[in-house]
Amino acid sequence: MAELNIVGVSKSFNNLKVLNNISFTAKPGKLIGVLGPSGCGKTTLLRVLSGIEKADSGKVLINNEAPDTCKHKIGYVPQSLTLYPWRTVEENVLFGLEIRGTDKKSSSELAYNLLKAVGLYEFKDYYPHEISGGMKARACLARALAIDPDVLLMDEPFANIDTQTRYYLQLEVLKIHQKYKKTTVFVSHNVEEIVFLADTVIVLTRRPATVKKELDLSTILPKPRSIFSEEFLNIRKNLIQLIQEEFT
Amino acid sequence: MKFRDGLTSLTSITVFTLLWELASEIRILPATLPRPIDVAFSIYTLIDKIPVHAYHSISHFMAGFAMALVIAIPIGALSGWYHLVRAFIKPIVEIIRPIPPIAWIPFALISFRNDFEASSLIIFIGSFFPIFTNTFLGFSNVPLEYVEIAKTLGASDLYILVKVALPSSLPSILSGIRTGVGIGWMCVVAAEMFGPPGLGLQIMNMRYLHDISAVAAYMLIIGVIGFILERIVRIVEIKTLKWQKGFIRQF
Repeated sequence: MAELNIVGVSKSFNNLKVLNNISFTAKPGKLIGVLGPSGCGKTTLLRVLSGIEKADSGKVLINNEAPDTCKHKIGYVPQSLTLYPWRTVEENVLFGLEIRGTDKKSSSELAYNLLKAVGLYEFKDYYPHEISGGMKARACLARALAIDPDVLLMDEPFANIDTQTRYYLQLEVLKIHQKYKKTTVFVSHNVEEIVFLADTVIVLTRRPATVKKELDLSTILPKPRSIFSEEFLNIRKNLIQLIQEEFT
Repeated sequence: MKFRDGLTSLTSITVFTLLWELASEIRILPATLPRPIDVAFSIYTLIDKIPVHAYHSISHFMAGFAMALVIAIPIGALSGWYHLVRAFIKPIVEIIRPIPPIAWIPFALISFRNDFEASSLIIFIGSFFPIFTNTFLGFSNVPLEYVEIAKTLGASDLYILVKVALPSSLPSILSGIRTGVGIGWMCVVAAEMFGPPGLGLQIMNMRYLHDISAVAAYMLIIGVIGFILERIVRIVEIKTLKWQKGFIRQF
């Protein structure tokens, strides 16, 4: 379990300032939900956390070290749910282990456990174009978990998935989070999703994004949560209002 | 389904041949054109010579085509992948590409005393560019996401090149190879018309003998071999690209 520290991160593209002095901490094993108005730079933030993009200023620290894909293991679930079309589901899930040269026997054992955990074992030999969007999300999650990541980053993974499937996937995320206890940053523009999943919510302002509010839900809204409870609905309402302020 | 398709193809060839025979019989076609029955008879009389000439042509083709594969794929891959290599290679290729393979024939015949090498060079020129261009396009169009995912999982640049960019470009490379086979095979015949032994030279020899049936017979053999070569690549494509959506249906 790793602690993730974001200290004063700023990022611009040409003259467009996207991230403005963002700081927060993800405690080991906690699920941080990052919420913000559409187009505020949530994806950019995750790309900086994953090391794909470099921050202009400020620091990202995993256990007090700069993230390094060789040393740290970062599980990344992209919004596009991209899988390699030439690899079967199982081969996609095992790609990270192949890169790290894990031996065949232990990786196939791990693949079995992971594919069972995300409910894809029956589809392990299918190619990505043969499975549904929900299954792709599960496969991406399994691929990210396969490398036993220090940090799990999820970039609106369920944005393009229908509401019913999305609900089951959210339950799945909670189950997997409880089982593997990964420090997770889950980004979404969907308030209900974040309130349902997150231990701590970070609300971002509109672009250039900075932290508008940090809200610890673990004490006021213990898990398992009901989306119909009064507390849930109240928090949801407050957060929606916070985001709506950003549009006016 | 496959059987029925085969039957349809067989019928279409038979109908075409019969119509041609009929058109010759009722004098719609000029008498100087060969009739299918004459062509068939020519093939029958040449049957012991055809394999020898075909062997020459196929070995010219294989030598030139193999060379094109070995050179075009790595160069195409590297210049698609690395900007610096692209900037270096592109101008050279862009100037040589518009020169038609046929224009290389005199050059090749003078530069190489050996007929085999000369005709292989023509085929190399013909096959090289489609393979190069398609490999180049494949590697330069690898989706950025594919690369980023491999990076977050800790892959090195070389690993990404081999395990991500290469398979991602494979459909494009294979379609380049298929075009390269077609053009290369056309170049064999052109190259051989000017000296090296093979099917192309035989066409020219038969022309001097005014034996149009034999000319047509050799043309037909060239067509059939070209068809088979392309089919072989197609089968390789289907075997390697079975992961592609809707790929089998195109066959």
